[in-house]
Amino acid sequence: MILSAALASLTSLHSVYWFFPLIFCIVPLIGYNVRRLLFLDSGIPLLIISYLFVNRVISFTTANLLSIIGFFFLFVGVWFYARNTLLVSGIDEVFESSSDKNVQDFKRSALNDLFGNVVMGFFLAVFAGLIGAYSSLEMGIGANIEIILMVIFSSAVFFILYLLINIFSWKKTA
Amino acid sequence: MKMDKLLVYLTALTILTVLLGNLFRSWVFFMGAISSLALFVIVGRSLPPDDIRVDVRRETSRGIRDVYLGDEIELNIHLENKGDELRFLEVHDILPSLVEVVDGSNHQIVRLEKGEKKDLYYKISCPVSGKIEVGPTKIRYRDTFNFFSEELDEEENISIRILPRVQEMKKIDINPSYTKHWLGDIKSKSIGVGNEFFSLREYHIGDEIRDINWKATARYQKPFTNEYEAEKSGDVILVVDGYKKGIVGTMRNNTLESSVDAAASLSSAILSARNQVGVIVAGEYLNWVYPGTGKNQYQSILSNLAKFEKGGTWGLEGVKWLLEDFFPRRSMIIFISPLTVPEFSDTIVDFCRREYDVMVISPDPVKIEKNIVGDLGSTAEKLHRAERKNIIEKLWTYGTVVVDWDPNQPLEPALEEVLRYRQRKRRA
Repeated sequence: MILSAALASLTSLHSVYWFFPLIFCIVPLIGYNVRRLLFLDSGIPLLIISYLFVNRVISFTTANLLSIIGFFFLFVGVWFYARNTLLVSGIDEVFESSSDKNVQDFKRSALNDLFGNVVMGFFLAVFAGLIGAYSSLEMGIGANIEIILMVIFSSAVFFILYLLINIFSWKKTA
Repeated sequence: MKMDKLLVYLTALTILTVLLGNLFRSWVFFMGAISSLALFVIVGRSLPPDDIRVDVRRETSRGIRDVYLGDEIELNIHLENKGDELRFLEVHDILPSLVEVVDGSNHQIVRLEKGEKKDLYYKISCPVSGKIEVGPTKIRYRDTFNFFSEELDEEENISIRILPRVQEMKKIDINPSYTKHWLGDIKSKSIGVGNEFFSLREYHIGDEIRDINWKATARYQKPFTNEYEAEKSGDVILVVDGYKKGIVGTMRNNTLESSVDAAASLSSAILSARNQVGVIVAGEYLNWVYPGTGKNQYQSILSNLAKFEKGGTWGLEGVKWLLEDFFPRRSMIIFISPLTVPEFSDTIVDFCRREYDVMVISPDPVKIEKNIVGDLGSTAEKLHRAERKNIIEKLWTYGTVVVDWDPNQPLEPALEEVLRYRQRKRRA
């Protein structure tokens, strides 16, 4: 968490508020150490916002876009990983047989989930960000690419709508 | 919906970034909002399964519900997943605080495929006698990042009776002073049914052929019959002092546990000598078992000893009333008490004055306390000892036989010594 915040500060030295990520990482860090999920859960979004605030004046380039989205998902990855670590440490405390196959499987599946969510989220955000930038910032591209992008964009919107409906219609059936 | 937490954080982040984006007129915040939405959609992959249904059934191994103190009992939890695959299922069988898990665990994590059945085993042991409730079984589903959790069905409790520990007492011969007519092991110094030769007499019509003494018949040239010493039995009533204010020690090691163990051991020894045994337990309620013999009687005594609750609302008047009005007169009464409640020793004296044959077995509370805390401090210990000595001497003067028992030692040697003295006194 400190490393990611320090990295964020280092890449934001152009701003006078470059130290903001370092300061805002204290709250989730305390939450992690004292095992209070509330501090951790509220601290990470604040850390993300502080990073966005520090970089609010940077120019729109593909490299900057990737950097902003990359750091966003780096912080999210740290957040999810911290939550999982707290859960696993709780399991290790309670269960003497933490070497049990079920527990080991659970730990492995957590890493898969974490990697899958962060990487897929990153690519989806980059894709959505590029489309958003194209549609609002009038990037000059060729007609063929424009048609392909429009098709992909429409498909993506419907796909996201489908996923959102799926999420909201989830009900407890047990 | 159990994804409230993550939803709230992501929604708040999205709204905040959009507002800040508008405020600062910066594309960076809009990228933050887009990333939040992307995350929102992707995390949908990790949603809990739609159908979470698990059947839970708990039982003891071979259906056993009674177990002796210190013995282990195996508990099985049968799980059947009737819904979608569950990657993290926490199963926690709630146990009373004194119960120890000796093998396996009552708190386990399992992964259940769709339709999979799984059996979980663990063994428990309880250091105190009585009735314990196992359950309910808590089942919880969690996602890998601990954002979602779902509590599932709970199984009913099951009751297990922990029967008191029984010490083997082969040499003990507790013979009530007053015997009844039915057959037992107590030699009554009168002619009757028994195994010990008593005297010879001339043969009468109707005597059993096997009772004819052939040597005497040959010598005197007329038939002689053996007479035997009658072996009878008596009634013994065990009164256990379960008054809460008189209990000394910890939850695991206390005078009450020792008293209950002594009562169980004595009832086993006295019943095996073909006497009738009854029990009165004076605790929160008065529990009693009317005198009887045999294995069923022994089981019902153990059940009563296992189920009683310590307390003290009835007072000793209840015990007096029971003994006088419902239990056979001239029974031998064995009080098992640490003698820490003054009224109890007064009642014992009262019974001595009547026609009862009274004995007291007193687990020494000072020895128990010393075993727990180590050195008590010489003055306090001396005071307790002096107080206890006074009570015991007072009981001896009224003709009560008192066994001053160190509960850290077996009961048999202490009891044997006092019984020998009692027999000598009776002979004299």
